Amino acid sequence: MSMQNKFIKFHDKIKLGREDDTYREARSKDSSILDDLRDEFKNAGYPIIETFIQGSLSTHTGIKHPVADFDIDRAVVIDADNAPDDPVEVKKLVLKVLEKRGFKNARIKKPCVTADYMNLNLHIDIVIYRKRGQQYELAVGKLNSNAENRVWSPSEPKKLIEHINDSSQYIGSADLKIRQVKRLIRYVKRWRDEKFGQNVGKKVFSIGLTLMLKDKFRPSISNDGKVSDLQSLRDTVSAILNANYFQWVDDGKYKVNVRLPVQPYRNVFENSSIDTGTQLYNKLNAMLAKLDQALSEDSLRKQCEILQGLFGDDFEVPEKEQDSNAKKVAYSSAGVVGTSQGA
Amino acid sequence: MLVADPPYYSLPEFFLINPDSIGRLAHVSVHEDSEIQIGTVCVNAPESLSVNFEQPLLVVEESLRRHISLLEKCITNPDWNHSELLREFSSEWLRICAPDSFKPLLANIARPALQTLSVYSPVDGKQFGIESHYMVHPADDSLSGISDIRLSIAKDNRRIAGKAVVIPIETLTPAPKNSDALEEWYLNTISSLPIKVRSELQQKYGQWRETAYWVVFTAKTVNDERTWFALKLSGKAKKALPLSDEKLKNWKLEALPIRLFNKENTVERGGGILPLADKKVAVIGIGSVGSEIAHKLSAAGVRYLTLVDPDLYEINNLYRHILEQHWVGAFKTVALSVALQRQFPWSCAQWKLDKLMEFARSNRMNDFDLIVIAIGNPTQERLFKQYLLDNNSKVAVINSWLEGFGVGGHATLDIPSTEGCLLCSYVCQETGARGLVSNMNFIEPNQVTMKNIAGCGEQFISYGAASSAQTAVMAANLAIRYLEGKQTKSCKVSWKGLDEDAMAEGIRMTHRYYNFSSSLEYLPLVDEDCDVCTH
Repeated sequence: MSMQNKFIKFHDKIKLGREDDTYREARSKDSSILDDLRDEFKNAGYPIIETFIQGSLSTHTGIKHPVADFDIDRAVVIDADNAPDDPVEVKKLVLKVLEKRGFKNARIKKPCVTADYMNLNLHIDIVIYRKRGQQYELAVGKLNSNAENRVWSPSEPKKLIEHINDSSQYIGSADLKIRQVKRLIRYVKRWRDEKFGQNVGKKVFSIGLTLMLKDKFRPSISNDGKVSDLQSLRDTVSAILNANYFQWVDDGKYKVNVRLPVQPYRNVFENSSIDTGTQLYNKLNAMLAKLDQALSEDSLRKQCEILQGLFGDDFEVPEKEQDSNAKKVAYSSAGVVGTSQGA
Repeated sequence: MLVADPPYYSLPEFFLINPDSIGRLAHVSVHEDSEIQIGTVCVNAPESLSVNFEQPLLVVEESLRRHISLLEKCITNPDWNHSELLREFSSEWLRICAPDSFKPLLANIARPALQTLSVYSPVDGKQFGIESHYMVHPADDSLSGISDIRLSIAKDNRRIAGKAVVIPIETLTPAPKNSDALEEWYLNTISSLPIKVRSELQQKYGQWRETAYWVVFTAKTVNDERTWFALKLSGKAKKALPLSDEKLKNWKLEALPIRLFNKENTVERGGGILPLADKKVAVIGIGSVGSEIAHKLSAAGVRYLTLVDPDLYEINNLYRHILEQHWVGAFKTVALSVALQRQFPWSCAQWKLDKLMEFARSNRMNDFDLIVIAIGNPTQERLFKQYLLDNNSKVAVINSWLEGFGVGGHATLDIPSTEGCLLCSYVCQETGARGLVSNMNFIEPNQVTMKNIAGCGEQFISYGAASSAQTAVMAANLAIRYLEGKQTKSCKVSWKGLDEDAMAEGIRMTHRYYNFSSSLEYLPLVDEDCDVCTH
């Protein structure tokens, strides 16, 4: 049984998709909250014209967090012609709905309205856009923001999703390669959750990691088509460290900068501390060393031990060098696949 | 004497004047012109040279050098000269054959032993084909019942023209210089035969009375190479085979070209491999790929092919199938078994109208030396592999398929006693699970690669006969290597074509396609994640 197979098993354990059973409850809550929002907005004269999922569930990069809760990242869009000039006005409508439904900690943050579900490990972020033509504008502002900080800010949420899902730059087996980068994103997010304390970990934003991994992705597929996530992760982390994401500020101190590739092109880590940047830089270097060590190791068991050290217990270590699972037949998860074979 | 003016498109010839004055020389043929003896020297095989026709002087110089070198060797090294005279015996013999005897005597002779055989006349009015030749043969029961020879005899439309006597010669002398010397050569050869052979000729065959005899000689020349040549004796009255000067007086002798027509000679001369004759091979799927594979295996000398396919030959198949159009409406297997036996006289190709799994369940797979599958159906092919595993079958299997748009084709050889099997080529390269499409493919899965010009059930993959033939030749080579014992381990092989047609259709290619640079190389088949091969 190959190392790649171990990575796939690890991936199967950590991945979280919107259609997964474990997400079923969140999905149903999301759906009923959305119904309430539609009514509330309609009654207020700002009918919702569009809604979509944002965040990791829209890019198939979501993972199960070992401790924290599930996220719902919901975007609702209203017509710019109907929208109030003050974006906080519509955010208040969201707050009202969430409070009515008994959410705890419901509050208006600068880019969204956020809340936690009572009695459920469920965290919800709702963002509001107004749309004119193809241009989306994000409702920015808090309850106590002054007029200057209450703005409709040009934004390209769908383009961001498209950017992360885009496989057009890959030549040959593009689907295979985009799936590989998505797995790497999940591995690194799990690594972050394992390696950073909860406080710093929260500041190593998923979108920042996602953009770095996507943009510096180095696929590893042998000429014969054999996929190696280990080699790809190693090469990609190395490329990230060699790129200009980490800005030297002092001896051993770094600031991390990752710009959005779409409007508003802001630095995801704009307000991050040097400590966050330094920790991320050092831990990525440590990960690279471990990945190199794993690659140079002949024993599958020892390789898995090294990787378990990086990713936690969900990365399994076989009891013996020759895995008894080898005798188990793993079948394809697809019912039918279209082929090009003929004779 | 240089006898040609430029430009030179072949080596210009130099003639020898009175060549006999220096004895009989190999590679020199002698003619008489106005009572002058002229020797033509053969210094090269004309087709093997590329001549610098823009520099005629250089060509003349080179030709002269070659003439001098060859003649010097012939004159100064008598042993070499003699062996060269024997080596070129057959071509010298042809030179003295009558100009109108361009159709060789076909001889179906198995052994170089003293024997007599019947000679059949050509069928009246036949301009070409086996029936247009004089033919010597005994009953060869290994010939296909529908080969021209057997059919010709079965039709009973060939007259027996006379008798042929096959005489092996132990010590061959050079061929006669010209047709006038034929009688002398014949008498010398007969008289130099061992006494036992001569007396057997006299006692056993001297009883017959015929007006014509075909004498077929056979002898070893150099390096154990055997040559066959013939002459015809024609007389006015029925007499015994003349074996002496006196008895030869009323007979006319003429040298005849001969073509030996037996398995050993004909199969090998055509590049076939005799040890493959008894191999039993099933070819399943007689489409564009399978039919070509069957053809190439037959041409390699495999006699016992079993062709398996339930389909009829349709008019749509014409442009990428080897069968002729008169077979439209016939079962492909039946038609191909006939076509193969008609082309390859020793083919015993059989047919079965089964689908793959029907064939598997109603036949003993281990009876075959090799099974070749060319059905282009991954589901059935994987099912068949599982059937072989479940039944612990040890038969070797080749799976061969191509992909559309001329991007390439593939074959796997699965030898159960070695690492690597068909399922290795189906292991998902991303997850290690059993996949549903081959990991060797050049086109990404789940795309519309079929064309449909006539509705449901009429879809087809777009590829030309060159692609299917290329795939088939590749698979047939693999099969031949395996049957010869040269390929002893499971392996895979692909050929890669251009992707321009696929690109024009918006088809996405695999990483393997862009990185593949091992066309026609035999690569290991085993995959470390294959559940069959790794425990």
